[in-house]
Amino acid sequence: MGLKDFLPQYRRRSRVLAVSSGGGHWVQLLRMMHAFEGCEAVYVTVNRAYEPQVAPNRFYVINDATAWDKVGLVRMGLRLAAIISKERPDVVISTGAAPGFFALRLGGLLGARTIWIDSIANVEQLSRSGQKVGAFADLWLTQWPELARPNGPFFAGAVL
Amino acid sequence: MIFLTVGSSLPFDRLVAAVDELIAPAKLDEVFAQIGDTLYRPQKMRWVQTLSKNDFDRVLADARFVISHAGVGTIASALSLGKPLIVMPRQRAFGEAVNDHQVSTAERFGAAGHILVAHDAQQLATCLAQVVSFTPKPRSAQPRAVSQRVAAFLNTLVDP
Repeated sequence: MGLKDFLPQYRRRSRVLAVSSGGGHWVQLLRMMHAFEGCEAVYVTVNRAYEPQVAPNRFYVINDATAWDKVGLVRMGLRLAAIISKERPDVVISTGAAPGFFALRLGGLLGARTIWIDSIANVEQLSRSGQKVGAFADLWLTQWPELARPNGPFFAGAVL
Repeated sequence: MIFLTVGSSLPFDRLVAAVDELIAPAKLDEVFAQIGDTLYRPQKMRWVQTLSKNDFDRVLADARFVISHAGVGTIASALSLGKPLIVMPRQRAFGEAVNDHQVSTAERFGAAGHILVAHDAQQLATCLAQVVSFTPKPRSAQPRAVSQRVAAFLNTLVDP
């Protein structure tokens, strides 16, 4: 036994940055909210109207962009870089799509652990973002058992 | 009332026009549509560009059945209320999405008996004839199992 065992545990709560684009990606992210209990969860998405669903947690809105919109993607990346350098999350988690891709790469660069849950909308193959970012993620999940691989993505169920 | 929704972002003229043109021949009762950035202006139905989450939920609850793109958010919402849903997946070839993931999502959920699937206006007419006698098969998802997997990962990050 060391001194540590007699001292109260003052553990800082982990800060989780949960990031997704709109529609189904956001719905799937919210289905995992319970996993963040005991953590400080901060949400980033593309639609201001979603804020009440996660209040009173901190909430950021970024622009949406697809692979068709390179200027929009750059704006999105810069905004995410600003949010991540301000929040300094311990963990970045995303269900996709483009916002999650950038958030995981940027968060990873700043030392955050990363979690990528590929959207259930990717039935035949993993999403493009998932294929690119999954291998870098510390935890990589798919929601279709047949897409699971021994080294990830892993299958733990489907959220919807 | 029949609820038509194509999500709140990318346009989906092919579906909105197909429904508008089928209202008379298929003898549809009142249709209400959320058309997002769709350019086509419906002639035979009431429409709005976007609905708040509360209004969306209310319209969905009131609807006799739903017609939509193959967004997993909409599919999950309809299934959770047991609403019959006819889906037309967006296709990349028509500039409706950046890839064809909605086609495979629709086929997978269709094969499982959760939804009816139409790839064009003609198949939509067939589905409209079938929907009266269609009872969606409920879906069993495992959001708790996925949350537990994520929570287990988050717990490994806490210093002992």
